[in-house]
Amino acid sequence: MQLAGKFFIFLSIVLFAFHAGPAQAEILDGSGSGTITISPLSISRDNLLVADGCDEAREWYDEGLRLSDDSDREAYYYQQAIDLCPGYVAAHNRLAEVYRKQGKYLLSIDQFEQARIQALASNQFASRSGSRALFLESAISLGEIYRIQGKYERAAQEFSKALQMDPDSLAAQNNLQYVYKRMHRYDNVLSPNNQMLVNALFTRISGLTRPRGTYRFDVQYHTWNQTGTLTDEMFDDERIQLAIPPSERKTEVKEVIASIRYGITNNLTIGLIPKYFSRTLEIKLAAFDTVETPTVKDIGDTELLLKYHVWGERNRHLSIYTLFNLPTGKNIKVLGDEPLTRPGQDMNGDPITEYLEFVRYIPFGSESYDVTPGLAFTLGLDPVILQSNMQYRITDGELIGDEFLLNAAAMYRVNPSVIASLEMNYRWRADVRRKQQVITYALRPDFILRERIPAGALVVDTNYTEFGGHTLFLSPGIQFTVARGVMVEFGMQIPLVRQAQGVTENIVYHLGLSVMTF
Amino acid sequence: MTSSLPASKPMLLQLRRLFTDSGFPLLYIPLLFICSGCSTAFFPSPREDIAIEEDQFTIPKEIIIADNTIYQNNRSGLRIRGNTPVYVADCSIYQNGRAGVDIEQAAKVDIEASNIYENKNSGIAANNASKLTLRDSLVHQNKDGGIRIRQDTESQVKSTYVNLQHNKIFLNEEGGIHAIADTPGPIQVNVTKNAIYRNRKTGLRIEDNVHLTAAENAFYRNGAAGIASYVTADTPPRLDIYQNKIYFNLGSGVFIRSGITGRIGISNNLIYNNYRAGVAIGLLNQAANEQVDVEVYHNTIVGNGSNVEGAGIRNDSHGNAVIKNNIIAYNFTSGIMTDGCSGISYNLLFANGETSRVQPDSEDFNYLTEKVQYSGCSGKQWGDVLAQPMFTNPDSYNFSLRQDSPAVNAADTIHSAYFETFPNNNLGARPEPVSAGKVQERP
Repeated sequence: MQLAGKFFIFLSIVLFAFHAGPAQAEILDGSGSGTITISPLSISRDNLLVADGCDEAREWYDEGLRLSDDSDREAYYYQQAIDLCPGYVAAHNRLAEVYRKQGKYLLSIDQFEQARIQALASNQFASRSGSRALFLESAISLGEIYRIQGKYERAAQEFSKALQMDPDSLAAQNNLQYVYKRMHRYDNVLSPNNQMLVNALFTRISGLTRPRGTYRFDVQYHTWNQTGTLTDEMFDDERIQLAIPPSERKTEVKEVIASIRYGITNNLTIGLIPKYFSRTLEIKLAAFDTVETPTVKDIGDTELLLKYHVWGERNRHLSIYTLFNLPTGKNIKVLGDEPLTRPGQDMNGDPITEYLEFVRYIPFGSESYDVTPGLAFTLGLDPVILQSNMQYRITDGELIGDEFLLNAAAMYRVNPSVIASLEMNYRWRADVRRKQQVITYALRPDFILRERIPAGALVVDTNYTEFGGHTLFLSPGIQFTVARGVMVEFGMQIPLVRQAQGVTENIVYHLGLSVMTF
Repeated sequence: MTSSLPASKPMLLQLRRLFTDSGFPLLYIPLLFICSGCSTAFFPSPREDIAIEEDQFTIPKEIIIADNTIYQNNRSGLRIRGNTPVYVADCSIYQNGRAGVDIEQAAKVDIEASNIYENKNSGIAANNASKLTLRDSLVHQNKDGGIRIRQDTESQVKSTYVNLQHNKIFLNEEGGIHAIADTPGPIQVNVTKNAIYRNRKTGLRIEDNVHLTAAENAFYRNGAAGIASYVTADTPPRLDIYQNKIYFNLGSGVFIRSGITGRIGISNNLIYNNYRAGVAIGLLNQAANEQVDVEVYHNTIVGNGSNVEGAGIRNDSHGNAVIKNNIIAYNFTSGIMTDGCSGISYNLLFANGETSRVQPDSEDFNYLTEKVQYSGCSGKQWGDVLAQPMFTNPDSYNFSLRQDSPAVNAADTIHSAYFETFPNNNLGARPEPVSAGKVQERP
């Protein structure tokens, strides 16, 4: 019993000390001549002296919470709590909520603002758990008030602020979209990261189809250098003994692709994609120092796109498509006598100049109606959008061979105007048997074959095999929105794996402009 | 009977001050009171404050517990068993170690004008009870949900009847109301004119053999769905949900994982600004156990959804859903998200989806609009209207229709007793205000 008695005495002392609170603070003024007595409640809310008031405030707050009926009495409890502890952010928020429910919007806004000010002023608030939620709540509630008042711009500001604090806030997302719609901003109702109506630079066909009645125009400019080898072994019908064998063909290609796409229905898009080329050829001849490099410009083939949206929900879309190749491009034959200078000098000490006839075939199209079926998929994963397609071009194998493409792109919206992308573009090409006319020169009569072949030009029609193979590109890119629906894009394709033979590209540079109508 | 709630702020503070000032220890010898009209406070007890078991007493015709404060007991505040009717009125039951009111074994309990809060378990736990009626009461801030009703295989009663009327059920740390019956006999739950809000999980959740009638309630700001219906056993819940306001819930407004609607269906509800779908039926790619057959008539479903999910109405189930005479507008992802068009007709859709571009003033629906309105269905169905619904003031959640609304007189007649009693020629919900949760003012 004695022990219990001592315990109760001890407990009483503790309780008394707790309830009595700390003594009044006394601070000497500068002269030291007297004291200034400060009442506890006038000291900073972070001071221990105020903690006593805040404890009592919490009881008033809890009482209000227990009521939760948006009544004047509930408001009174929160007001009492705030009077005792002005930095009580939750009480400000709840009081503001009650005012909002009562339709007292000005009072409510004032309390929400107070909550914010008090929260920002407190150096403890930020570190407390739940502080962020209170901040968020006040931003959303303020937005709701502005929404009710029809002040959409201000409401959108508050909801955007809330989204900056918490991009996953469902309430902020919900309200922001509604407000945008009320502002007639139907094309920008999503948070930017979810906008999937962007296309990658090289993975051009997405899983989405155009909305019905809308257009998309784009123009792409590509330039690259490519190299191809031509050797005796490639001629498989009649082995040509090339007097002047061209060992390497270099071509500088400039390609302009225009496209127009239109949504016939929401699930069916049609597109027309004409191409225009400029090719500058350089054929290196081992026997000569120089060679002329003619530039040929002409239209290439045109593709007709039909795309159908077969499946989709919010952030996942799948389409099938077919590209019909319309052979508007020709296999252009370029003839010409060109002065070539051999190394060395003639008997007079002059450079040796000969005129040789060259025949070049420059393919600007396949000259056949090809079909390319494909599959395209788009997946939106905040904040990244994935886009992929694969297609197989079925050809007659004459000028252009079969081709399989597999593209995958990841796009990241850096800010509302800038999208960065990274793509992998895989290509497989089949070998192509090409018809070729070779004109060679016999410098002297040939008796080896027991048939006398006179000296001079010898024209041989033959076939040769342009080898295909695997190529893999890594393709970084960036797109800028310069005006509503207008995007400018830059990028490049860097070959990581090149096919061993045949025509191989160096880096492909891309410049694009696309315009969408809404 | 006129009742008043005793737990006013001054009284509570006075009691607390009494304890601390006098230095009372926190344990008291249990007091047992069964009284009528007394105003005694039941002090903290290591066990239940009042335990009523019929074999301990001469069975009275009725037990009345009125005007008591029952708090801080280590176990339940009130524990009631047996089939003697118990009437609880004007009581304040709080901070008890288990449920505020624990109702078991065929008990019949009426609770009126009471304040049940901050109990460590549910506010009211009814396990295999015969009857529970709760009126004009507050059930709030309880740790394990507001009201939990369960009927299991050990039940001595064939069915449980629950009637909840004019209550406020809020800020409970689990759901507001949770009813589950894995027995052949159903729990009949009538929830009328309650305000169920700011609970941490679902406002009203039912599972298995529960027959729910929810009318004229307000479900808002709950941490999950406003109303949710599931099946874990054989019998799916039966639902009639009508004339409710369901809004600002963090989940869907109404989520039916499994359920079969009764004679009224999901009708005449205002379902807006829920942060997932307005009405969600089934669960995507998880149709194994679902049993769905629902009718969704004459609802106004506006502004639901977020980046996570948010069609006005979505049906991911393989069951039947008839969606008719609704107004579905401004929802986040799409208007009606279904697998096919079956059962959809006579709905007004407007400005749903993320990329819909409509000119509200010109009714210009010339692209993407239709696709987004109907995700999974090819487009406009019989009787559907794609036009601005002309709400009176949607910004302030007034979704009544202006006279020039295209929804006026655009509905197809639904032949049922309910709609013959409450005919509605307009699309969307009837404009009657919901007078939910009007409990009596405390002194």
